Amino acid sequence: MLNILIRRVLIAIPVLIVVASLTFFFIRLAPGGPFDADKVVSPQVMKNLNAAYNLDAPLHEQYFDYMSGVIVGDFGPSFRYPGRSVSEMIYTGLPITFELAFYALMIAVALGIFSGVLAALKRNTFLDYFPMAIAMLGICVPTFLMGPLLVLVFGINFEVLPVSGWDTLSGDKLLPSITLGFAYAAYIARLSRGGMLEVLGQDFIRTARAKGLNEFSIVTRHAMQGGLLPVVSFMGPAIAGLLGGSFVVETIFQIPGLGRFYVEAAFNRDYTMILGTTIFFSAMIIFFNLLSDLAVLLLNPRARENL
Amino acid sequence: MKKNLFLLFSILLYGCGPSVSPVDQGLIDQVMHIGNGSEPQGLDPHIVTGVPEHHLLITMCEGLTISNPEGGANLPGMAESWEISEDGKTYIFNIRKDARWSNGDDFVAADIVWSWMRVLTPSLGSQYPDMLYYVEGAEDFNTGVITDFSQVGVKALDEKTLQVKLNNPTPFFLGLLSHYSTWPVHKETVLEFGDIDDRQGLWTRPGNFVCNGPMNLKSWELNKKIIVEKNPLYWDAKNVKLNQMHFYPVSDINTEERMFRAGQLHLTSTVPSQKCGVWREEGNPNLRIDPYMGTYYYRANVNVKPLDNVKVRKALTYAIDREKLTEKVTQCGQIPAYSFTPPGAAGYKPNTEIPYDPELARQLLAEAGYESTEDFPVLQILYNTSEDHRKIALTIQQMWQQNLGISVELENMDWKVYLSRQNSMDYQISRAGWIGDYEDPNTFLDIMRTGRGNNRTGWSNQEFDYLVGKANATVDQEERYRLLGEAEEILIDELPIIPIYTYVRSYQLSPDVKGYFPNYLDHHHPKTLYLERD
Amino acid sequence: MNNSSLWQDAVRRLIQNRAAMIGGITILVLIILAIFAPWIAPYSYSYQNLDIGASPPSAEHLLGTDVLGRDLLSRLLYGARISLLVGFVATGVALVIGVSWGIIAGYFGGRVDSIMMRIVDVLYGLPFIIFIILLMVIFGRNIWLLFAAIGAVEWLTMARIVRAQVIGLKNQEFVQAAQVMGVSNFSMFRRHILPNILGPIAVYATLTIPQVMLLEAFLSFLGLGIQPPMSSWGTLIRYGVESMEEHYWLLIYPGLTFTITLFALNFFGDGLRDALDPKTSDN
Repeated sequence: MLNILIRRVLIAIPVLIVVASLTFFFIRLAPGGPFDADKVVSPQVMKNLNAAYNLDAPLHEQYFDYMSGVIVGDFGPSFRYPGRSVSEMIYTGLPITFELAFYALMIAVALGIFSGVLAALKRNTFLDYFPMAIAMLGICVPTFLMGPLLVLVFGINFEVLPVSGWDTLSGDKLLPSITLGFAYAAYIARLSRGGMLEVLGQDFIRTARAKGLNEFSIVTRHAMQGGLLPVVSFMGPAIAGLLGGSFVVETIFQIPGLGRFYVEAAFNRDYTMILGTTIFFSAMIIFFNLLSDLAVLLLNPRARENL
Repeated sequence: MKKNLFLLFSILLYGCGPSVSPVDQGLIDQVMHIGNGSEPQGLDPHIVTGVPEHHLLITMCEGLTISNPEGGANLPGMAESWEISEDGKTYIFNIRKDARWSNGDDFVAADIVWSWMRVLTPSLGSQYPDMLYYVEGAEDFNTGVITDFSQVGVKALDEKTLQVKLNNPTPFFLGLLSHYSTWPVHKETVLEFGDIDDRQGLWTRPGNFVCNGPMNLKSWELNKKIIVEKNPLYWDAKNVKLNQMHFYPVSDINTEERMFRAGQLHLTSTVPSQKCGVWREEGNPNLRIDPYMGTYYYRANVNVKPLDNVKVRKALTYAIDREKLTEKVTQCGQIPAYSFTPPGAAGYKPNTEIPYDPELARQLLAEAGYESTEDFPVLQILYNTSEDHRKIALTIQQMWQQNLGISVELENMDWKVYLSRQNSMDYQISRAGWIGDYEDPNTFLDIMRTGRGNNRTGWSNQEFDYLVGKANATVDQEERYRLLGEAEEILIDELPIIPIYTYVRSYQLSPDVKGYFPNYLDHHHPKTLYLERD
Repeated sequence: MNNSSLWQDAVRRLIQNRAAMIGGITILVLIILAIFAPWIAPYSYSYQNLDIGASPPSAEHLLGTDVLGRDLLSRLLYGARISLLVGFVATGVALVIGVSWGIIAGYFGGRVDSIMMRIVDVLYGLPFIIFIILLMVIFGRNIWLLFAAIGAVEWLTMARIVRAQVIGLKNQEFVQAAQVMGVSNFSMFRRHILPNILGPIAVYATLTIPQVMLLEAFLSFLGLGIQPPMSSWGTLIRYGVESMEEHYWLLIYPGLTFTITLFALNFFGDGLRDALDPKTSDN
């Protein structure tokens, strides 16, 4: 187990380097530079600007400069926000996005697994149809609709929750977390229902029932291990989706997270910011995929050779 | 089960909802909450370029003159009085005796000299040095032709007297001084955190920031909130009534609207356009619509067929029903534009006309050689992603298709691609907007001169250039306006730009806010503001 | 074992599943409506009537009009073409690539799996928006390209899910038995692995389709998707959200249509899964 972990961590490093390098060259291909603005400046001024950020050096030089900085944790200055370093901006925004994604994930997992397992057990009854219908709604209702809707109902109509911000857990952190997590709860519900049904229909479950084991232990000790396999393997993409989807929720609720910075950086051609956030998000996704793979391994020891 | 949890939640929450809204609390503490549109690029007046930055900087720093909150000529700022020479080229500014920096240092004329040197230093990379190009030698210094700043026409004659020499009598020079790139910065503070041309210096952080305005920087939470508080050392501090101002970088306009409704903001940066129409009808008392010095227009690339033919450009222009567009589409009190320079700018009234005449337009098209509209190539309208631009482009597309029978395609590009396509002249028709930097028609007409960076249409007219140049060298205001009016007529006759409407500033303002006057350039000095409930 | 009668059994089970049939027929109807949209739509999707602006449902405009006076029903019909197309094509692309990738990686394990999944990791990390911007700029605005781009993102998740399923599967006895018998890899995939993972794949595919449709709306909203005046259901919903307080019909009808379609897809997908894997069905 431990050497699998070490091996994966070591492999993650070249992966990150590849991601960073590809991104480095990609973003410079997109038309429009960081300093293009509505009011055009003279070529002289543009030259000065580019020089101030070393953009006039040959590309491979810029690349080595950048990568050698990254190794020691220096992600360079933001092109768009003079006086701000990329590290500073990431350290400000990342914990917030992470927190939002975490709460959303908790909500998604709790609601999702609970309703999915219940639906599988009480198949074709009201307790199956109703949660699954809600789950479908959750998938159909995009965050950019659910957010404003929740705000209008709870923030403006009933005035029980704040309309924006990110300060208190029972206050303004509630609606954004629900908004972000609800769609994933729906996915997890459906995946767990599907997975559980697969497992519950198998022979060894019938055997266990015939032997007279009680339903609860059958479900929790025998079925869930295999039944929740699709959910566990979905965790990686779920985190990726939550981190990526946080942008919309952060915009709607005015949350100072990294998701907003990331998307804005892309549109502002803030090269260093794009690179820095890409590397961080990538690292996080790799990390969570690794965790999810390890969980798959725990549930299914013979999958060892796949790690 | 889930339903019960939901009910339980709602009941619990009802008990612990928000109690006093920020707007209510602000009334007691004289704290104003403002939606500011986006996170500012920074707070260094010599480096930043946007409007949200202006809203912040006007609270913290002050130039030689300040905009008159009620409109009209600029009022004294750091300079309490000035004398202008006969030929209009030399200014003597008398710096206020009690002018001080927020750290107690005396404010002296040399501070302006050093600040202008900084903004004109090429390696700083300021994007607005052209505000000072009217000063002798400034452009040369900024482009590296000369490297000795003492050759530039700004000198401190003594501690409280500043002399400025201009290239031409520039009648709008005093108005120019309310642009933040001409504002002073505190030399010792800047140099403590870096060189004169260091863009990454941390002098703008709370705790380090020193300036000379009514407020000082208290805190700066990235992408969350910026707080400025009253500066007791400001020369006019006794007239400043607000204690604090909180700026929120809300980028989503619908979120901003909800925040205003929930009592979290006193002032918004804008109004969602689909609500504006409805509000105007029902008479929403918080809605404000003020005239704004800006023009929304379409650029025509005159180097590209068929737009190289002036008749084609005229046809396109006359086929747009501006009245209908502003009434039904933009819906927020915008004014149809029949000139490039917004009428009324410092008393300037352009003489130009643009009819809405589809018949004439079709005729012009035929005269241009397009008898049958099948021969007319497909036109593409380039615009950057935005709901409003989209609606306007769709409407104009329809109008051109219906009135002229031609085919039009829309090209929606992201901001930077849009900019780069315009700069490289890789477009046919492109959406554009221009906001005046100072209150004088020159800020508009100047950009259409030959070769000007912001021209971007490829249009060049000798007569036009001559008229605008001559106007700049003329002292007599009436004569100036006559010359500029003639230039405007040439512009509207050749139509490399297709004016659509004159901007308005639309926003929501809480009735608690007093002393907020409509300003043509959207300059609102905090010293007139206070909160009071009737 | 006679394969053809297995499929026949599956089809029979599917037809007997009422919910799945209703779902399937609904989808079929929508597809037909979409194909014939240019003929059945009462107005063009771009025709503006500025004088009436946004008006609620009426006799002339059954579902109302939007802010520019465009008929909502017509726009919904035309929007169906874009949304259904993006849903099926992009998901199809994701399915093909994702399933193959996942099966190969999961089954072979070891080095092959490691390399394949690390490539997935790299692709996951690349900034999607930049990639789309580049694509649009280099290859121009091409709706097929948009679908391919969306599919190229969604396949990554599909691959992971499929891989996990295959891992769970390959250690079961019947697979090992087949290996001992010397069944070829391809045969293994086709006859043993694939049929047994079709269940979760079907479920996940029906989950991917709405994701894809909404991703398209997200991109269009950022200016990177289809060009106006064309709209998809996703963009119609987006516009609807903006005016949901003033012009509720602009949100309700596109939202309803979207939801109904997805419910139908889901019932059909579930029915497919039940039909293909009788152990999990009711009988």
